[in-house]
Amino acid sequence: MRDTARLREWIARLIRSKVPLYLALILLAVWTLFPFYTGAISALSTEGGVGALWPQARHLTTRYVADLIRGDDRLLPPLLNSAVVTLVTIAIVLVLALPAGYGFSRWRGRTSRSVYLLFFVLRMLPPIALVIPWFLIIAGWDLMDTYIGLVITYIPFRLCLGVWLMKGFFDTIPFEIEEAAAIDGASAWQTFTRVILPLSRNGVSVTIVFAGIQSYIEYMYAVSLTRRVTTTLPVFIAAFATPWSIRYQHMLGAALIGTIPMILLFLAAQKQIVRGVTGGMIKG
Amino acid sequence: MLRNRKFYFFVLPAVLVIAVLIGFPVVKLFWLSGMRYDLMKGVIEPIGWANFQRILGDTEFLHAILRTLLYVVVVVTANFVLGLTMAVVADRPFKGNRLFQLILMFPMLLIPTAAGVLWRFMYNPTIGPLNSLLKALSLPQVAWLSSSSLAVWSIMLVDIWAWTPYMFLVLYAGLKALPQEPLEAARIDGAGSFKVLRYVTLPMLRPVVFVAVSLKFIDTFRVFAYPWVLTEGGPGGSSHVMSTYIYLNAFRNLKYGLSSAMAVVAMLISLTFSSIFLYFAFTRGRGETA
Repeated sequence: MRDTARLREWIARLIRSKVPLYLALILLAVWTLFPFYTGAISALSTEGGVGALWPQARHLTTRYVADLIRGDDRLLPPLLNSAVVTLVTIAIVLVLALPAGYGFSRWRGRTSRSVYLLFFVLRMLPPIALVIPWFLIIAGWDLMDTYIGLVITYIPFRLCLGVWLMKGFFDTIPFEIEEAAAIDGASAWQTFTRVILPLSRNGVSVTIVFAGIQSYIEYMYAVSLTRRVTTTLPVFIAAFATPWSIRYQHMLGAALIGTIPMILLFLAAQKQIVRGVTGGMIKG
Repeated sequence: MLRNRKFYFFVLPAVLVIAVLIGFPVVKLFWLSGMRYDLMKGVIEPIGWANFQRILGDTEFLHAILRTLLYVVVVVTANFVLGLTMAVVADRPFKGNRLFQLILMFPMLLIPTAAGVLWRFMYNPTIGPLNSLLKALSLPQVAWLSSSSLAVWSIMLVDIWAWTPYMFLVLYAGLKALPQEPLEAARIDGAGSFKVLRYVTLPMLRPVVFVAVSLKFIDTFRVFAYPWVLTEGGPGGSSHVMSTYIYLNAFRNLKYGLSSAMAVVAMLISLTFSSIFLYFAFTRGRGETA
C-alpha cells in the first residue's frame, strides 16, 4: 500500500520535472533528423557502406559528391535552370501581382470582389487538372524543353498566389496615406508608384519567397515539359531512380545539396515565411 | 463607386494574363475530354461523352479518388497532432530552443522529389536504414513499399514527415501571438497544462487552425511528387492517388482524351472543396479570418 503511494508520488514528480520535456525533444529531433543522417552517410559511402546506420571509415568517400560537383553528373546545370525559371517567374509575377493586389485592395465593389474570389478559387486548382492540355499546347508551340515553355505554365498559379498575398498586405496599409497624396494632386498611378510601393517591401518579400519556393520545388510540369536542356533540379534528383536501377549515392547527394538554397532562403526570410504560411493572419 | 473604378486598370493586366493562361488550357482540357486522342494510331476524333462513360466503369480511378481522400484526412490529421505537439514543446523555455526549432523545420525545406528519393532509400527492403534498424532491434522486416496494403501508408508517412513543420510553424506563430492573461488566469485557477491547452489555448487558436488546416487540406489533395517518386502508384496500382493515376494514363499510356476527362473530374472535386472552404471562410468565419 505504502509502496504504491510512493510510486504514485514518484511518477507525479517525474511528470512535473523536465524529464518528459527532454524525452519529447529527443524523440522529435530523432524523427526529424534520422533520414538526413543516414542519407548523408550513404551519400558519402562506397557501395558497401550504403544504408549503414553508422559511418564506417573504410567505406567513406567523396567520389560521388565530386561527381555531382565536377564529374559526369554535374548538378550545376539543373541548378542554374531552376534558378533561371524561378527568377523569371518571380519577376513576371511581381510586375503583375503588385498593381493587381493594390487594385483589389482599394477597389471595393461587387465586380472586384467576384474577380478576386475567382483568383482565390483558381489558386486551389490541382496542377494535374491542366498539365495535359499544357503539355499538348507547349508541344504544339514548339516550346518543349525551353525556359519560356516552363515559365508560361508556372505563371498562372503563382500569380494567383501573389495577388492573394499582395492584397492581404495592401489591406494593412491605411487609406489615409493615399488621401494625403490625392489632396496634393497625385494620380492613382503616381500614388501607387511613389507612396505605396516604397512601403511594400515586406509584402514583396513574402511574395518573392512563396512564388520562388513554388517554382523551385515544382516537379509535375518540369518533368513533363523538359527533356535534357532545361531539366530543373527536382527532375534531376528524381531521375537517379529509374525502374531498373537506383544510383543511391548520387541521388542522395543531389537531394541533400539541392536543399542548401532552401535552408539559406529560410534563414534569410524566416519572418516572411511565417507571415506567408499564415496568410498574413499573424504579423511576424 | 465611380472613383473606385480607376483601380480597374491596376487589376486588368493580371486578369488578362490569368484569363489567357488558365482559360486557354481549361478550354483545351474540355475539348480533349470529348476526344479520342490516340497519337500512336494517329486518330483524333470526337467521341462525345464516351470518355466519361468509361471513367464511370473504371473502379481503379474511383479507388484512386477514395484513396486520395483517405490520404488527405490521415496526413492532415497527423500533421496537426504532431505539429501541435512540436509547437507546445517548442513553446517551453529550454537551452537550445532556437536550434531545436530550426531542426524541426528541415524536412519542409527539402524539395519534394528529394524527400521522395530520400525515403525511397530509407524504405529499401535490403539496404534501407529502416529495416536495418528493425533488424538491430531484432524486429521483423517490413515490406514498406512492395506490399500492396502497406505502400500507401508508407507514402503518407513521408508526407507527414515532410509537412508537419508547416503545421508546427503556423501553430507556433499562433501560440506566440496569443494574449498571455487568459492562460495565466486558467493556471491560477488550478487547470493542468493539458486542460489549459484543450480549453483555453486551442479555442483561442481556432481561426489560425481553421486557415492552416484548410489550406493544408487543399494542398495535400494535389499530392503527386511523393507517390510518383516512391512507387509510381505501384505495386499493382495499389498506391495510386488521383494525380498519379491521371498522370500515368496521360503520359505513360498516352490516353490524352481519357485522362483529360479524369482531370475534369479532379477539377470538379477540387472546386467543390474550395467552395466549401470559401463558404466557411467568408460567411461563418467572417471577422475571425480576415
